[in-house]
Amino acid sequence: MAAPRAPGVTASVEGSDGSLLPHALSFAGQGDLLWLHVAADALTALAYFMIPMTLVYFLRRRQGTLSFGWAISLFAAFILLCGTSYVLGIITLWSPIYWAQGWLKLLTALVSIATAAAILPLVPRLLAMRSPEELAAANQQLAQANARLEETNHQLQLEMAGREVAERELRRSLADLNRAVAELEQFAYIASHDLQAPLRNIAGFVQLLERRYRERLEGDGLEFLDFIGQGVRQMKALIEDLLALSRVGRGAESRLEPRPLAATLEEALKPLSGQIASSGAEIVHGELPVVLAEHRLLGQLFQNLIGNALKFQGQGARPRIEIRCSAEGERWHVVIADNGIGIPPAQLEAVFAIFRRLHPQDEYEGSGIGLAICRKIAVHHGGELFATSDGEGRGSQFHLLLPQQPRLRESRPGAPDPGVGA
Amino acid sequence: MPTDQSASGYRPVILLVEDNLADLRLAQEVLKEANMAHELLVARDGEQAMKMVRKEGEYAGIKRPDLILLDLNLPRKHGREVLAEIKSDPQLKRIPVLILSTSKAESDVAGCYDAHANCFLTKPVALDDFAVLAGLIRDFWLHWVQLPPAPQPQG
Repeated sequence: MAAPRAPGVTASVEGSDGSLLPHALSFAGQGDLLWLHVAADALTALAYFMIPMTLVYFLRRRQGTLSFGWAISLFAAFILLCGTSYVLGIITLWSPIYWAQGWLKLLTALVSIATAAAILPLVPRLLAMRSPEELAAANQQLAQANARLEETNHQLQLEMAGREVAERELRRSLADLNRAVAELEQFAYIASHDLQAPLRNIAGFVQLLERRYRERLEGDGLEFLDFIGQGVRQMKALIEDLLALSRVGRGAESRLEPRPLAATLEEALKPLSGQIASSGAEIVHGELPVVLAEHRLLGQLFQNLIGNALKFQGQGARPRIEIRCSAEGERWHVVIADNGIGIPPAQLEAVFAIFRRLHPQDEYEGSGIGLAICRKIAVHHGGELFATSDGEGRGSQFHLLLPQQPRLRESRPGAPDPGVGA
Repeated sequence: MPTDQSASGYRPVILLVEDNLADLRLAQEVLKEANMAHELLVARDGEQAMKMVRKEGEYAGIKRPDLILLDLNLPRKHGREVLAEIKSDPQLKRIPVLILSTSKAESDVAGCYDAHANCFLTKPVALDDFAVLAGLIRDFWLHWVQLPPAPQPQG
């Protein structure tokens, strides 16, 4: 790191060499003083040489990772030069190389100034640098944040796993539920089917008894026979309705077809013709559209609802039943309105529950299944069925909301009518 | 209504295959009330029915049935199997087999016709209806229908 010398200056220094005296002469007769200077200068020089060596070693080990490498190099050079000037100080005790010493001092001064100039702008950056304590604290904070993140991550994973488990359980419960419903329907079908066989026998033998032995019975005997016959009729209706309920939507019979609603209505009224005639009922309907549906089921719905409208009438009342249909958005809104005994507001929903009866059997006969069948038919078509009424004695309206493009609730195509024969 | 068979003194043989005693008795009573001249054979399960139509073992001496009323849900051998065996046997397949079941299931009805049942009747629930059905069987199968002659024994 030798500073270039200007040729003119060099010549003048060399030209005046030789007339100078060494320092040692100033200490003549005081040997102790001389050696004090020598020792102090030597030790200082030694220290000054060691510092840059340490710095160079340090720089080499941390090569590339230190931000101020060049400043440190400059500083090392400055100290090295300082050390060298002390060495020259010792030499000049005996040998008067004052020119060399002077040039070296100048060089040292230049390097010192350069170092100082280089260090000054670094001060703000050095100040901005974190102290090791600060760094340690920041590090610790980072580590804590990291730990928190990991904890959160872990919890998220746990939560996800929990959700997956919950979802699996939900799916399993849903499958269980579907299976249970299917089994229940299968059970209802088989049970009601198998109940028919003994009932058929009871009915048959009761009729045989009546036919052959009625004359020989009297009073109580006849009454008991009538009660048996009545019970058999009720049970027969119950079983048939249960069968009808469990058959709604059974795969094999599901068939959507477009058909005029009026035709289906007309067919549904046929089995009711006796009741209609005897009650003098008036049944009217507005214009009815062609509807895409399972018309066998729709006919059953009409028959049940109109049958109810005919049945639930006050003493001697003349039933009036109106059927109308309008398009509402993508659905048909079919209304079957009557002038019958009506439904109390609290019971408007309850009437659709299976086996739910609002009146005693001897007042209004029925199985308590008819409206449950109707609702199942509506739901099977992806529709709704509900009732409105202005209150008791003021008639009721049954509303069927039927999608114009129904998508049948497919009930297990794999489970057709069980072929139960007896 | 008098029938040709009764006029000529021939009493057609009806085999009734029915496992349930009450059902059997009811059917017997209904047939009796229908007032038809017939001889009634009764089998209580599918295997017994096959032995009777084939006149095997203890049934060697009985008459060959002219008409079979067959229930489906039978112990030991199901009615469908009895039907299939009869209709695949050259010696027996001419005998009219009337299925008399409580079932209305499409699969039962189709399966029986596939196996060449002569007709499928669903047992009426009401006794009066059952009586009407018995009268129809009497008038149709035992009066109007020409029953097949017994096949000549082979070999």
